[in-house]
Amino acid sequence: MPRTQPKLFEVARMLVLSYRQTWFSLAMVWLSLLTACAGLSAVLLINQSAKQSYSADSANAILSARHQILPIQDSNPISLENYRLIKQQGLSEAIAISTARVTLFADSKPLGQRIDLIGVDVLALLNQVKVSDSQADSSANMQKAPTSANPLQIGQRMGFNQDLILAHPRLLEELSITEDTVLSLDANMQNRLPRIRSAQLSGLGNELLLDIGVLLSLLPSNDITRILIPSPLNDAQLANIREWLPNHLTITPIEDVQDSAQLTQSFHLNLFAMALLMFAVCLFIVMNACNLLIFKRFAMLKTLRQLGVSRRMIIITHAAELLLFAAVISALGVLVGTQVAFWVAPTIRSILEGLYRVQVGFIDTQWLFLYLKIFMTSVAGLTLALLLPMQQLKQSLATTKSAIADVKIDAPIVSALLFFSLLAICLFAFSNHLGALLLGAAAVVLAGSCLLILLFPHLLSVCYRVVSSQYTFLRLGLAQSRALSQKTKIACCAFFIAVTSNLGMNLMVDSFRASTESWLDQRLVADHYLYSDNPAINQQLMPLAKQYSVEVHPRFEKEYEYAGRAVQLFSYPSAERFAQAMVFQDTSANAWQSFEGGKSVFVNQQFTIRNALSLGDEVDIQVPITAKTESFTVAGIIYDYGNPMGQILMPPTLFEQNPASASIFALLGEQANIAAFSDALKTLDIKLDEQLFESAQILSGSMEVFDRTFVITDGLNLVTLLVAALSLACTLVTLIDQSRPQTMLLRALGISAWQGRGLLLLQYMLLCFVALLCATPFGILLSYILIEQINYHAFNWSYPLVIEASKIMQLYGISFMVVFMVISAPIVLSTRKSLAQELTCLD
Amino acid sequence: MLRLKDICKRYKDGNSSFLVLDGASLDLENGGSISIQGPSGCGKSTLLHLIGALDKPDSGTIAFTPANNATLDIHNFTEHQADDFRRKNLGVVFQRFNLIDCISVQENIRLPGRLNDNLDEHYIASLCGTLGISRLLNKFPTQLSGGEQQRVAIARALAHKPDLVLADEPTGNLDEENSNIVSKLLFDTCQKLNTTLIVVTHSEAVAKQAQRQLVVRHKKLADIHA
Repeated sequence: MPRTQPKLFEVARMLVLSYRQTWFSLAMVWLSLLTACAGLSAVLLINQSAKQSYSADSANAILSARHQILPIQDSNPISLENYRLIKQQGLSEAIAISTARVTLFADSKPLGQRIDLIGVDVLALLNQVKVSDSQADSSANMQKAPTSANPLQIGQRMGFNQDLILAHPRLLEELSITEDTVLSLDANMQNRLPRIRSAQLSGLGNELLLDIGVLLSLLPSNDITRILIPSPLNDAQLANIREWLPNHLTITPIEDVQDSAQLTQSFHLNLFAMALLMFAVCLFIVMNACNLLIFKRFAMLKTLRQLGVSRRMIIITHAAELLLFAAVISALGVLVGTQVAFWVAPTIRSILEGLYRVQVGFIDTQWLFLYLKIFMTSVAGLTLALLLPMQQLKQSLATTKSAIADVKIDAPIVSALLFFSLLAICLFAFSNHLGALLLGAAAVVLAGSCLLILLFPHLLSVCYRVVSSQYTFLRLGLAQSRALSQKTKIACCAFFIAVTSNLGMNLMVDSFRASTESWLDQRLVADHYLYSDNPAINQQLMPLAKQYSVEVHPRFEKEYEYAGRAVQLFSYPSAERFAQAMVFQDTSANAWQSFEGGKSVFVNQQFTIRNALSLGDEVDIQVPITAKTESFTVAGIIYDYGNPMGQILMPPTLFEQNPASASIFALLGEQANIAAFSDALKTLDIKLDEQLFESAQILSGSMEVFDRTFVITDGLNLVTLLVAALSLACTLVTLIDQSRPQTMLLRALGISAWQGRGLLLLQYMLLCFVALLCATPFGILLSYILIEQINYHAFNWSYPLVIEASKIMQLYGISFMVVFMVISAPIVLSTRKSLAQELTCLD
Repeated sequence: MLRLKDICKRYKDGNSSFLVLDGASLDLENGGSISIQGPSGCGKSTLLHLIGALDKPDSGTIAFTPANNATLDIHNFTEHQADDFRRKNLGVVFQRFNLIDCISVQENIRLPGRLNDNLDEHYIASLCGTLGISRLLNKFPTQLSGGEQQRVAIARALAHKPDLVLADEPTGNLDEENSNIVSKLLFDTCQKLNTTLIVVTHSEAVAKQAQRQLVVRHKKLADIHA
């Protein structure tokens, strides 16, 4: 030890002294690591926030309830008498909730966005606090999720009462208001809201929490929207409640809502996959930057070795240096990531709220935990990043080579290729677990990277041989690209991963979009659709339609459970137009005849996958009209994109054909007749703009929502591509010095400065082109895996893969543009010195 | 004919500057050869850079009149003209970093011809024969010895039939035997092709092979025997 310490200190001191020469490579390592940490933090925070918010929505925005009482139909809401009755019947902890979306005014000016008011029965809440207090002693040892809100937290810690409104500090910041701002429902500031109090409540997003009494007095037309039951109820208690509960109300466990949470899972999965992708790309960039850093330090390290410093010592000092970087940059990354998450929060919120009607809150998280997570990931990444250069350092010092990039690493790469290929094959063949499948997808991309490293010089050689010698510049560019390919392989791998993922995701989304659009286009068979859940109005629809020669097909439905899971049991007409519109994944002969005869049913893909069914299998279903269980043959498997639930279609004759219980009506008829019928609907108090839609309107609205969902994915894809291009730029800047003698030689042969720059640009563009060529089959393979494996197991649906050449060309164009933009700056700046000055490198 | 008149060149180094050439003059007939000697840092390479339009003088004129062509005022060249001049009229041989590593010997030699669209395969084959490098054409520069590399560099410098060849320490990296072979090949080939040759060298033996031996003395060019 006494001998080691001074040496260690000396080596560390030398590293610090070398920062002056290697500042650029060092900055690249920092920037790459910061990008990786920030990207990962942002995505983790967004995911966590969305999950917290979704669970908060399931519990009706803020309170952690287990059951809820809802009106069966909106037209017959929960009254105060109903609430009183529920309390009297022993559910004293029940909490009434009323919600409204309003425009608020501050200083007579409207706020920038509409706000949701959540009215809560504060008295019931405080009562709940007492219950919680009394239970606190007995449950002192129970750990509670630190970020989930509960009545105790709201009532006690936040000091919530009837004279206060609770708002998340981020919302106040977003709206540019403070706790002193007076809010009103009108510009005249007549209907003022109580005093605002800032409250760090997870799940509280674009909402203000206030007393229900205050809300109902401000908005008299509002009703109680639901009643929450915080305590758990057993089956006997539930059965008892159902007995005395008024007929127009129903009690449902909040867990039931989790089915719809599956839709948001697609969003989480999407983000998680993107986070992994971003990190993988950044890992390669960090690896590349570390490689270049050591390359820059090589002469110094070689001298140190000649002076007797061991390789172990060099590795220890580098590891310590990178550990220090990881500690500092992880903290910075968390800060930057948080800011990014906050910036994109409004977009995410609008998407989630628009798509799934969930309330998205602000992020309340444990910073230390997040920091440790990011730090550990960074250390793991840096260790991996250091392995390769250190291995090269070992070999380079053992030999007399001056350029570490010349080291042959074919054998490890071939081993890695075989390992990743086998891993992917095994995972896809033997696992159904989503995490394992995602790992399989990652293994495919990494196998592709290994293949790229192996094939890169050979592919460029082939191109070089193919190009005619009369294209001097192109041939020269290709020859130089081939020489560069060994030194730029890590950066090119980052680019390859970014492009492969980009292509895979884009093809998957496009296929999904094309399938959804075509499916919707075909399924929306009627000219118009009427949405009405008012039984009284619905009863009058049929005779009225008859008067105007409009054909009305109500969709009958029944709540149904199959194998312990809720499924949708819907009627589907077998009229020719409807039969032609049905899009089957698979169908048996005479399916429609058998369906019409009530002997078979059609089910969606999700239902067959979940219940391991196939065409021709028998399913036992309780017939809605007879309430008897009968066996039906699966005669057709239908596509049903975006639906998290299983669905069974039966002919309308098997339903009690009462239009009063239907909520959707397909309208067929002449345009003029439908127009006249629409006018007549007004007399039934139907709001045409809210309830009557043309098929095209529904289709365009749905596709708009679809496109909005993938905006973030597109954004992240582009960011990943940019980051990968940055890695190429980093390599280019480091290698420009090395290639300067060759460039200057060409200048001396009469090649102009701009031609020299063009040649340099051509070399890197050629590298990107070959990486793009290699990425294309892997991108297509990845999209196939995403559709047939990931989607299939995550959501129980799949769809045909659509490969559009135009989409691939578009991606080529975007990739070239991004790379061109990022690398042109260092290329232009590289030749600012005079030719005579540059020529000194030839002396 | 190459004519240099009162060439001055000053380099700046931060706030200070130093004069490298001060009134250097030279007249050289087409097809002639000269060697330039002098201690390190005396301005030999600077002079070569100025003649090769790789740099510009602060004052003075450099004019070159190729056979059957109009006079070129090298000192007044724009960047574009300088590129053209180097590509068409000039051949260069440096001490090292002479060849492009990633392309074969053959490609290296053909490169100037391709850049000028005047590739003469027959001439190049004969040139390679003269220089004794025909068997090396399919090899890569890294596979050659120093002497072989310099012979290839000479072939590359003459491949497009330039009017003027500038050689900056062409044998600086070679042993005596190879130095003699390479320099002899350079002088003999240029003479055979009637190409004007200027060689900057520290080697007395190499310098003696030129028709005229000059030296940079007191920032001016002078006959070595003067």
